[in-house]
Amino acid sequence: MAETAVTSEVKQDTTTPAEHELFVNMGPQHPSTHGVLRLLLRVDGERVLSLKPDIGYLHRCFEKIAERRSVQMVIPYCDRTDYLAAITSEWAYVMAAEKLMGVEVPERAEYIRVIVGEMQRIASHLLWFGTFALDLGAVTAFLYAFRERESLFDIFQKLTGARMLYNYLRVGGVRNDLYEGFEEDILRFLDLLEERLIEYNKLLTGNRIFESRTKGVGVITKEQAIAYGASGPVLRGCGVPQDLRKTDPYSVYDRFEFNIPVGEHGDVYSRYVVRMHEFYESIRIIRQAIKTIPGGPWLGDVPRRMKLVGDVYTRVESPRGEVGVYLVGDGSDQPYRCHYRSPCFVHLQLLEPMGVGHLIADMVAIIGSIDIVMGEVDR
Amino acid sequence: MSEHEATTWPEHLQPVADALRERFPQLSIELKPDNWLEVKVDADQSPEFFRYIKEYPGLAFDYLLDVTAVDYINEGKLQVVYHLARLGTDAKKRGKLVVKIDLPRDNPRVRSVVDIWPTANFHEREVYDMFGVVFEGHPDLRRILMREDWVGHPLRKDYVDQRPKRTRVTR
Amino acid sequence: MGLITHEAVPGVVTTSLRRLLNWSRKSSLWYMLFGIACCAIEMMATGASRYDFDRFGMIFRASPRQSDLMIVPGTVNEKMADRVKVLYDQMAEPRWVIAMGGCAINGGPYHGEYNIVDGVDKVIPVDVYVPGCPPRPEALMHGVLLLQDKIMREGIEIPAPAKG
Repeated sequence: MAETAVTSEVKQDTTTPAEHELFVNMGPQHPSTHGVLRLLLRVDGERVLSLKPDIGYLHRCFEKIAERRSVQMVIPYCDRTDYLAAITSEWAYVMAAEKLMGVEVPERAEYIRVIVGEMQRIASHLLWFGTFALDLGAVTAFLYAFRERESLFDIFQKLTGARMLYNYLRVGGVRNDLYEGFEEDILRFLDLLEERLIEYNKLLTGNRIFESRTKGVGVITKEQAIAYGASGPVLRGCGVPQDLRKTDPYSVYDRFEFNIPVGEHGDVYSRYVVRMHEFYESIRIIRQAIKTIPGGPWLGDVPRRMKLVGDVYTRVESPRGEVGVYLVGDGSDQPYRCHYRSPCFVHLQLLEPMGVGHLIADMVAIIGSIDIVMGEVDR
Repeated sequence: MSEHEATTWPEHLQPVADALRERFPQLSIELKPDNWLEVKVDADQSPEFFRYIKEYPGLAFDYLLDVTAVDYINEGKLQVVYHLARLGTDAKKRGKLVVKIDLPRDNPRVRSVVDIWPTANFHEREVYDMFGVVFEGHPDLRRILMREDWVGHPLRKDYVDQRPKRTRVTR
Repeated sequence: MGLITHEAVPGVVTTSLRRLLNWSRKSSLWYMLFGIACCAIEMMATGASRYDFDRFGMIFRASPRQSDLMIVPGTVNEKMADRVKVLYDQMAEPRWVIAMGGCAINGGPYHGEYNIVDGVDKVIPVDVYVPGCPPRPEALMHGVLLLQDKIMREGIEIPAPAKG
């Protein structure tokens, strides 16, 4: 592999390509761009010389809509920003609203949030595992991952009524309590998942083809990752143990025991390993939370007329990285401004340092490894 | 900022505030929920300020989380908001900083921070796209989310959508 | 709707060429792997383990030139609208379009906002609308079955089934 060229400043590529060079459009309709990402590649043969991400093909005016809805009505739109991890997007938003209104969240609600949040992380990672493997040509892994994802969705459906976009968190708690028998359902699923994870690892982790497609590809250094504002598995894959659940604990995460898996080399493989370990950490957290969940109400005392005053920034560790919500209130029940900080939006800037010098086929692996969701990038 | 408020600050934030005051004595520093320090800076002071908080060893805010803006139309200003943090598991070294810069609504210009934190590139392009804030010295200030031929800046409070109506297409 | 309506002589099937064409078209609807938003994930789930689109002879193709069916799964905005049109134009006739989810039908929760095209039928003609946000895989399958009915009737006058 050629060394990865690093440019701190990104310039518009207006140079006419030399005779043997080509401009190639990858996307917005491309099977491996996970939605509507468009990459402008300048290539020499198969080798990528420079690349520019072009986004906005799924810009759905979330921030403008939030200014015209009441506090609770924004929650379904939060689902649709990061649609693979609806709970964590909701979480960042409701935490911001709770801080602005000074609403106390009952202890049981916090535990339920942790449980569904970690279930969501598993669901999101399962989809990532499936599509990432599919992009690299492993169709079996895709079918396996979706099988487990459907069993998890059965539990989600029983709990919230929806498969993907739950609208479950509320300002002051959650919409409804855990149903009777939830405990058995989720514990049975976790046992199953642990068994199946062994299968997953057998499929990919030691696989020689997989390793040669991922090791040493898309390398970034620790310094680059921090300078470009990376978070989540991309940052942890470089060896930085930054996880908001530990470093800036929110909710009740400080009561659980879990590790932060970190990678070593900052390549695609390290990010893969980090996410595979996160499955186990999420399983650990859910088991502890199920064991220690207190009784009581699941929705706190919320004033009938909600008033947002002041401004606040909350951050939550989503499966993809750090989600932040900057909420400004002007005394009415509608947010004056609601900004959603998306981790994938930031990670897209890393594609250039990761991808330059590699083959086009490696771009597919790199895009898969940062696990982008275009709904979240464009909002 | 009164003495009384300063004494109630968490211990690990005191050195940050001191370091900021040492260089910028006029600065107003506030403590917000979740131990965020909030600082208001003038637009012409901002390049020096950002350079300082990145490079001064006692501050070293190496992690830019977010750049966004708020349109305060009644006060006639656009406020650009930066959220910064320091990485690390060591609670003593942690610190979170909000920097707010007020700009006039009719000609908002501020110095870009891309040369200090490369991650600001996309964020600033988004703020330019949505609010029309011009970041001077930005290497590639184009629209990012909207089409390049779009007119207006949608997240401004007085934005009106003026697209022609589309009609249904049949076979 | 099957190909064979009745078997007059055992072992011999008589049918019109039109019906044979329609039957073969509806039985191998290859759809384009084209995801826009949340609905795309449900579309993937429909193609994956539990729901299994292959049963309907539906296989995804990555290229518009090889596909018969375009499922539009998600919000179409001003920037994307031109691309959707280009993709549709690249498909060979006969071609069909399913608008999947509220956004593709009329903008759904985003109806009337700046930058949103209120429904993909403002850009390309749509055959079947599948409501939901996102529609469940079962709903998408129902949409496909409706489309198959529609294809089977193409070019043939079939009296509407008697009510009751």
